Amino acid sequence: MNSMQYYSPNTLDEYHKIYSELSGKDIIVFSGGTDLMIGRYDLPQDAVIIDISRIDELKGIEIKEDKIFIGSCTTLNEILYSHKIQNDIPILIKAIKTMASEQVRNRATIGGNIGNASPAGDTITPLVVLEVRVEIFSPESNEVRTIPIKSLFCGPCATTLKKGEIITKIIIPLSKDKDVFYYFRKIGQRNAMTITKASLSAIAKYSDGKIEWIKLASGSVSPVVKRISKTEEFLKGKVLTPAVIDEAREMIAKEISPITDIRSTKAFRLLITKNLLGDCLYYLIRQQNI
Amino acid sequence: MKEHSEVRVDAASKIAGIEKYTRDLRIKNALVAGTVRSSKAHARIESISYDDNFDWSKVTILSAKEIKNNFVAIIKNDMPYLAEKEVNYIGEPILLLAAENETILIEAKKHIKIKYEELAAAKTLKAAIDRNRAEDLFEEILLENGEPEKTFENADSIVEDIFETGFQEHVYLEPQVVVAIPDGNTIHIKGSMQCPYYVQNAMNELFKGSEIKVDVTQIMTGGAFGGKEDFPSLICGHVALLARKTGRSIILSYNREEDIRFTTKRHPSRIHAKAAVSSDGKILGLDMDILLDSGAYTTLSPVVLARAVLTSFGCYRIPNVRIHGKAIKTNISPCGAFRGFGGPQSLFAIEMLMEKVAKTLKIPVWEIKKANMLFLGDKLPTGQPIDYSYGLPQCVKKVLKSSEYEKKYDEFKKYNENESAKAGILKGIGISLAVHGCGFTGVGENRIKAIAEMELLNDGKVLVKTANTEMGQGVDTAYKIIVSEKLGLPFKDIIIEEKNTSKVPNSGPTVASRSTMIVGKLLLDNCEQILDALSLNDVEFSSQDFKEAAIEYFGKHDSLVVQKEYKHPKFIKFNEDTYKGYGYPVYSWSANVAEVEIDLTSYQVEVKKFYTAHDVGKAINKQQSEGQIQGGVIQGIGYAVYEALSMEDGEVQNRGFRDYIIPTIQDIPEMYVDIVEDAYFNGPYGAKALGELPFVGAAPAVASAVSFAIGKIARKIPLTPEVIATLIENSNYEY
Ligand SMILES: Cc1cc2nc3c(=O)[nH]c(=O)nc-3n(C[C@H](O)[C@H](O)[C@H](O)COP(=O)(O)OP(=O)(O)OC[C@H]3O[C@@H](n4cnc5c(N)ncnc54)[C@H](O)[C@@H]3O)c2cc1C
Repeated sequence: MNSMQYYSPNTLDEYHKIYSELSGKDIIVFSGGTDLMIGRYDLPQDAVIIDISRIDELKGIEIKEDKIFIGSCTTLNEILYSHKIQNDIPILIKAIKTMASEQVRNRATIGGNIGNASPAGDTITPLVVLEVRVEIFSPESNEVRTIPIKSLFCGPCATTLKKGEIITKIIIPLSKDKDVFYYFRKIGQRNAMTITKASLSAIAKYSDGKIEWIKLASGSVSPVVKRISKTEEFLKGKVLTPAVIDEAREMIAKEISPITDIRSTKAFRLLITKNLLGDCLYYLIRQQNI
Repeated sequence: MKEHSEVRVDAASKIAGIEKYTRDLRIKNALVAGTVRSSKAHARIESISYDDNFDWSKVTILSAKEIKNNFVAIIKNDMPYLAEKEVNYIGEPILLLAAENETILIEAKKHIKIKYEELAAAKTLKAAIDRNRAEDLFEEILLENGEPEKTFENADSIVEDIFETGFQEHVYLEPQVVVAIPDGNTIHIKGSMQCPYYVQNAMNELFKGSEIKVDVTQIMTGGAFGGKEDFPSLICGHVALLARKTGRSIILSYNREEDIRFTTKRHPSRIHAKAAVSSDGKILGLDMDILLDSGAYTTLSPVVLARAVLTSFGCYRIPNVRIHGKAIKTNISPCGAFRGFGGPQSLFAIEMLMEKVAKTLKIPVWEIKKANMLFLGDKLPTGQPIDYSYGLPQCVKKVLKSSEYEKKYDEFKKYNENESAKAGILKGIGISLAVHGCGFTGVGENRIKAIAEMELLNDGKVLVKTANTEMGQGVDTAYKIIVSEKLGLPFKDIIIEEKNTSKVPNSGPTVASRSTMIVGKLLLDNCEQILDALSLNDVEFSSQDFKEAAIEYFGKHDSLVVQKEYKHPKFIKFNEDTYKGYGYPVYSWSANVAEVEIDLTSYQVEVKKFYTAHDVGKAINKQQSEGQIQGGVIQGIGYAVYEALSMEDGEVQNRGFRDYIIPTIQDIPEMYVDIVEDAYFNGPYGAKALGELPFVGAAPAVASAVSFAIGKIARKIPLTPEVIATLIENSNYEY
């Protein structure tokens, strides 16, 4: 009987070497393992696992010029307790605070959350509205490239990564705009350890009583997380009157395609996504009035 | 008795992680067992085939044909260990496999093909009701008192509705696990279980007529809540049969998925309740049709139904009643025992009926409940007078004070009118009165004839022998307190005997909140017998005196073993045909107030505060009692708002903790617990039932608060956000 194989490289070079020696075998990239371990009973008996969590190059948070670089194997708690992220990317802090539990966040990594590509992944909607890029290492070519995060996903739990490719960094552009408004809210079945039924991330600029621009992304309500562009477009330049907000609520409902599953129903997900947008826009108004 | 707040005797070993649970036992040379299950809800088995692409010498297969007495002995004995010709639910065991390791089992299962001829199935309670077949009725109970018909004819108004409660999974931390160890003609069974003698009895029936003898040992059990009351008999039979066939030790341990899909659940209910009401809010008559979805086999459903019927009038004085209960067969995994045992279902119905009466008459709900609450000396519809150990009025007083219910009732009304739209939340406050009949229903206790034994050891220590199991509820500690108080011995001199049927007498199952009240009392009697033998009764003595008396005793005698058998006091009688008489020898009571907030974006119900006062006769261990109350309340909150078991096409859809949602530490309210001690004359130091009571009152209090918040009667639990949205938005977000 075949048994599982497990490798744990310490550098990207070693990763490259191990990969090359496997001569084309399918591998499973293992980071914190908090998604993978849930499905452990379904893994093939002869799976080859490469644990990348000991690769130092893939860890840590750095600011260079106008960008923040987060290594893919940085844990969620390392991000949560980072002053840099707290100061500059509060929306990501808000999202991570709602994720899992203290224990799980000590293991779970940001690269794993993205690599898992679940429409319910809670770091994904903030990263999508932040328009981050992801850096990818390909062991076939031994090179890195970067792509916008939105082109990473191609279906529920499916990415455009090619064989052996791993996400190495998340690159977040720092906004020059000051006073940017941000909003993240997730709705699950309870206050912790809960999978998102629907969520909304927004960043916006509001001036002279109008929305200058707004970026929106909804979680768990479409096969992949994507921007809600028609609603964004509609809100641009608008004064937020109750009528405008109502119209925006109806628009977002048309831009998403939720499904019914064990966690909730299609109708309910539509309803709460509309509510989330309403909640977000009223919150924006309140923020401006203080 | 002085107040005790002892640290549990099992706390240190559990916290240190050194306590040995069944999976920690190192059993030499054991095979692992697996179960091949039905994929059909109702079908005839046409054939079973084993394909040639597998080396069958690696597994032992056991089928129904090899089982002579193929029924799990409990009440109606209708459930087989393995299905032979017909399957009645998805997941029903058909074959047992044993092999050297799990991997072989997984592989082997892929090479077994079962062909079925599908038969008509009732996969929901509704389908079974519509089908309306006599053979689907596991039990029917009718309790009538006064003149219900006339009362309803003459009533000022009649208020009625249909109330529904859902499935609930026990979610004990340790999934089901048992082992069998063959030893000549004896098979030793060990495992995670509540009732070693239930298993013993089932094994005796299984091996009747053969040379096999069985003994049963409970190993430290990681939670049970009723889930390890009736169910372990089935799987103990499985391991025993495999052990006999293979001559090897057998381990059967369910993983969480198997556990959640195929073990027993709380009975869902559908209760049509009707009240005949006078214009000033007096309930003159009650008519209830209680239906319990029982699953494919009888298990304990008749007794669950009995408790549902006897709890249906709650804490109220209702002179004219007609309570009609039915336990109905459906083609789903059998329902079984669960903390509260039928009580939570009917208590939810009566409490929500009170809400509806209040709403209909436009009288605050507390006014209605207060006006109808039992007085000391009142009679229940069974004719039983409530004339002793009735601490409910004190509970009410305490909880109204701690919660400031009446003040907040007005404040929250104003808040919802004026501020809630802006804040995006609705506030609610609710109140429930709850009752739990202590111990077995009716004359069950006289049938069990529980025996507790105590032995004086020659070093002056005592050995306590009961079959009552520790599963995290603190029974071992409670017994030590009871004995220590009477004999003046320190805990270390009181030894609790292993819960092994060859070592302890049958003191009855660890269920029905009976272990402290019934068996604890027997232990007190045992202590008196020992003191008599040592001539220490009626004198003051120190622990040193006790030691010396013991040594003196052993100078003249070889041993001192005392026994006591339980009997109800003579006046406690119950008629099982008319359901008249003492449904229970005594009742425990609680009054509960819940404060909730409902978020209008997410429709989530959050219980912010929970106040409760419990009359338990005597809290043998104060901190443990508070712990039980807090835990039971949390489980009740789970039942009320979080726990949705999804049953589709006769099959449980949930796979584990990620999709069966129970409250976490982040979801539980601030809790305020008061304990009232209105002593029960026949309990140890006055103690009566505690274990289940905390559960039963929680859901109605939460549902009452939700009804307050949304201005509509929450007639169905769990109140998931989807249900709340449906109620608030007047549209259907549930389906
Ligand atoms: C109890 C519990 C609660 C949870 N709660 C939440 C929650 O609230 N919100 C939420 O979004 N998630 C939650 N999760 C899911 C999980 O913790 C997160 O998705 C986490 O970020 C995954 O990271 P990981 O490092 O553990 O991933 P792993 O399990 O190691 O990997 C996940 C997937 O990503 C791939 N992968 C990992 N690293 C890379 C990489 N660098 N490049 C390419 N592919 C990669 C793996 O091959 C795998 O397919 C929870 C999980 C558990 C067990």
